[in-house]
Amino acid sequence: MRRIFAVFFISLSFILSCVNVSFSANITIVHWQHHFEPRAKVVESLIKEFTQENPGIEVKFESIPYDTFFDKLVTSLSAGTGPDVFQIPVNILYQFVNQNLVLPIPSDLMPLSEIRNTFIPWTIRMSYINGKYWGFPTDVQPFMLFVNNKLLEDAGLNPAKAPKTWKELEEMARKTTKFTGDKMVQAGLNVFGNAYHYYWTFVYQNVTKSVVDPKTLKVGYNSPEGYEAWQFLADLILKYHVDDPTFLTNQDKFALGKAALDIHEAVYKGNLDMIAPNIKYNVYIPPTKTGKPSTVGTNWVYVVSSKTKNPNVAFKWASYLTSEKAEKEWVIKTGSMPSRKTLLDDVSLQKDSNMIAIFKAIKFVRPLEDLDWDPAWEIREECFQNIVLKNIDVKKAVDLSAQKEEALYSKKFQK
Amino acid sequence: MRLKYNTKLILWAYIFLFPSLVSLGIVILYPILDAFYISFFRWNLLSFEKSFIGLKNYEGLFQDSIFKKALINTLYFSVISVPVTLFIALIIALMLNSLSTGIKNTLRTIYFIPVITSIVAVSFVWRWMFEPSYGPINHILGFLGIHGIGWLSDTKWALPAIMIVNIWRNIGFYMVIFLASLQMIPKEFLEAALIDGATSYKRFIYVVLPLLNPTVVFCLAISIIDALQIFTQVYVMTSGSGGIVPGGPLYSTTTIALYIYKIAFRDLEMGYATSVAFVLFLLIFIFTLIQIKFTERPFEY
Amino acid sequence: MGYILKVFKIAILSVGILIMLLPFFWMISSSFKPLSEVILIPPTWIPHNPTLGNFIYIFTQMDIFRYLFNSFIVAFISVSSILFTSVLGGYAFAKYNFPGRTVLFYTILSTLMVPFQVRVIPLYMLIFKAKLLDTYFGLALPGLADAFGIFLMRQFMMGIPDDLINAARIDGYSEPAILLRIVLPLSKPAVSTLTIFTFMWNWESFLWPLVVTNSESKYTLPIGLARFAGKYLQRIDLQMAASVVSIIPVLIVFLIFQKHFIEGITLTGMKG
Repeated sequence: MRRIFAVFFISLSFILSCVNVSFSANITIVHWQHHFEPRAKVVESLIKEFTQENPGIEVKFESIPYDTFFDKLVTSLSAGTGPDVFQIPVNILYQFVNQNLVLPIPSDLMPLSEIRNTFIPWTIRMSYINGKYWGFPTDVQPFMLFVNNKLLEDAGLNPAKAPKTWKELEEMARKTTKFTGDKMVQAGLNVFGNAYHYYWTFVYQNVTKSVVDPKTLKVGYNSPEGYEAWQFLADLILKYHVDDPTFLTNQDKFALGKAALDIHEAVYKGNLDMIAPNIKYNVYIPPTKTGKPSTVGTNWVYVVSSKTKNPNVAFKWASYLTSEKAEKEWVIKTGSMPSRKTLLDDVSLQKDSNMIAIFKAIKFVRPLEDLDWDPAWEIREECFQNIVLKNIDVKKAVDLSAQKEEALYSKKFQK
Repeated sequence: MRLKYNTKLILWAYIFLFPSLVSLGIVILYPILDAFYISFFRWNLLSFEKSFIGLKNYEGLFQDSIFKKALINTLYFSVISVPVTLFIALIIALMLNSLSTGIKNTLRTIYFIPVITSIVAVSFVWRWMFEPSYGPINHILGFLGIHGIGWLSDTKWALPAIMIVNIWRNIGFYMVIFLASLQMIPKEFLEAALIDGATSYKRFIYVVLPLLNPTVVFCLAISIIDALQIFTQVYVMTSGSGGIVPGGPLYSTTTIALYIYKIAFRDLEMGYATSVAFVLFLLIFIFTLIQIKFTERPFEY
Repeated sequence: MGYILKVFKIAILSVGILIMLLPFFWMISSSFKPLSEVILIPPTWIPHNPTLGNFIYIFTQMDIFRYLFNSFIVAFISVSSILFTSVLGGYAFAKYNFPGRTVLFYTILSTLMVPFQVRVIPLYMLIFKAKLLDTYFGLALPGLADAFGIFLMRQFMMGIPDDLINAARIDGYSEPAILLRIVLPLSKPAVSTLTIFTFMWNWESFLWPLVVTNSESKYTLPIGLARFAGKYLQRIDLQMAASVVSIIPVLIVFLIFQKHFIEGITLTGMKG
């Protein structure tokens, strides 16, 4: 009796799990995005508008958690079950191009000249491969300095005054760090939350030649300027104690109101407004050593899978996501920056001083030059931890990191 | 039992075996063989090319500093948490054994609760209990005059934190097994052992322990295999924001199982990942053999 | 002397109980606190500002019942399959004599030493080639058969007297009937143990559902909880509330069936 039941249930479950019925006669485009709440909401509203304007087309949206995003993406693409449209960091676009996983933007949709005229140059720089453009730039993120107005005022500082130099940043951080006995109760600068925000920013501000050279596969941050940037970060932690790894470990000190300053992608603005509406903050371009404005920026691209059954529709959707109308929604609802040049001067999007500051910062962005994503990131994270947790000499740690990163790139590029 | 090979019966035996053989074949045998095969290739999912590189994956392990760290972490973790867990479990079992049934059963249930609660939920709870600035662990330690342990943020204390969670969770499980074994031993032995003075210790070592031997061997075996494969607690307790693979500050909690996950599902290097997996298998195999050899002792009931 | 020892024993056991239950107390306490109180230094044990807000948020934002359902379905498929294969297979090894019996049994037993990590990549490749990613069957696949089940059944069934079986044969019972009508009812303790163990193992399974599920509609409970916490890494109050809710179903089942649980572990220990 049990056996019969078991067989019945197993067969039933098997059948149920294999059934994947689609009753619509529409064209369906599958869109994958790595999950981020504010952006997910915008995608959903854009889908609504797009399907209204284009009857007969359906867009299925999957918001995949970041930590499994690349794995799922790659396995499903190779199995042929992947999405039609998805997003990847522009830095690894070339890997997808080399593996014939994506299609170039058709010139009848958007010729080369139009692409160059429409989008901000640094957002499409790494998207130009083998004479074509392969992705629509999105998720444009300059790194900005966020300051907690109240905590600054409590320390006798003026939150309306933007710090321009590293020295000013250091002083502000020191003045806003508080201890009870030897226990930190307020961090001046939230470094340990996301250390990469800091070493990326400082390195890209300070190093004048390329940080990663795509031709030689060599890195440029093991130079005096690079060491200087890393040393500044090391001093902030080890010498001036503006943050401590044991204080609110792995938590967002700034959003909790326990850190006065923080460097973040501009989209953090949207996050803050959602999870910490009570915090009044100002946003500035991060200070540099000399005071000359500069910051690092990243962007992703929307690409179309080479295995898509409906390339025209897929491209229509992908370009819709970066149309002027859509970009305005991105900006207003998520605090992402537009990738279209025309929108940079759009005053309607710059409703407060913070937005104005962010828009201005875009002009001073040095785009990230990494040639790989998580693995390169891990190498520099290790460098950072070696310096602040193990007190390893900055030059030694940075040289080791450079060595590992160069080995990584040569492995990725070897055929 | 008759050793006659009756054809009809043999046929039935094979029929009964058939479902297991098929399912085991698909779910266990085929993957093991396939993994072994893959480990001789360089196979990055993103590049789709599968190139035969012979033993290069295994050779690469010798130069891989993170792998070495993972190996050390896994061994360090196992060598400490297994004996401690079993030791405490045994002591508690001994103590419970001499109590009346009602209290014994209640206490047994309480000690068993950590075992059946969701490992993910429990890992989250401990993660925040270990939080250095406001967590209750440091708060309590503060009363005892101990300050400044960084737990999961400290390269020295991160793995011990995970050990503590594992020990806490598993004590109940092994205690129940020991308790059941102890209940098979005549009560006089144990009473005498606990009441007499100095000689009781010797009696315990020479009488009780040998009688517990098969149970101890069994518990050692499964707890070692379990410890060497630890993954979930580490993943949950040391995952951070920003999507960087969990593994603690400077890989201090990266265990072999976690490292395999990272290589396979983050770096997408399938060939290399399976070679590490086979090293793990080898490790388990060796440990089990050693442990059986050293603890198998003849005993008399 | 005996009295001091007794006091000592009670003291240690009490401390032990405290340690076992402390995390649960902190978990429940934090789940009723707002975030600002959770991160208060020094920590409060009884919430000063108790709130149900976290639980309300959990039930609206986290699809707990879906995750519970998924976990249950997958565990059910796995338990059904393992019972089926292990009862039959175990019986074959226990009561039949056939060529290759010893070799086959010890080969199967040796697979217990092979860690899941070795099998996970080929199984994953198999699943995605068969387009079974993100399906219940795909989730249940590695749990369809296990050497442990066969081992347990065999050990137990070996204790069933051969005479019973031979008598049944003489009476004209067919082989399957003997298994179903005679052996199986006598094997209830082992079957119940195997059911519990397999269910628990499936319920706690983490790595496999982690890599196999894409959509939230297929998350099992551990994955749902981990993903939720990942989304709200900063919201410890929510995480604690989610943890409380995750633990409750199993806790209730355990407290009701604790006798069977404990007996099951004992049985395994004996046969091992």
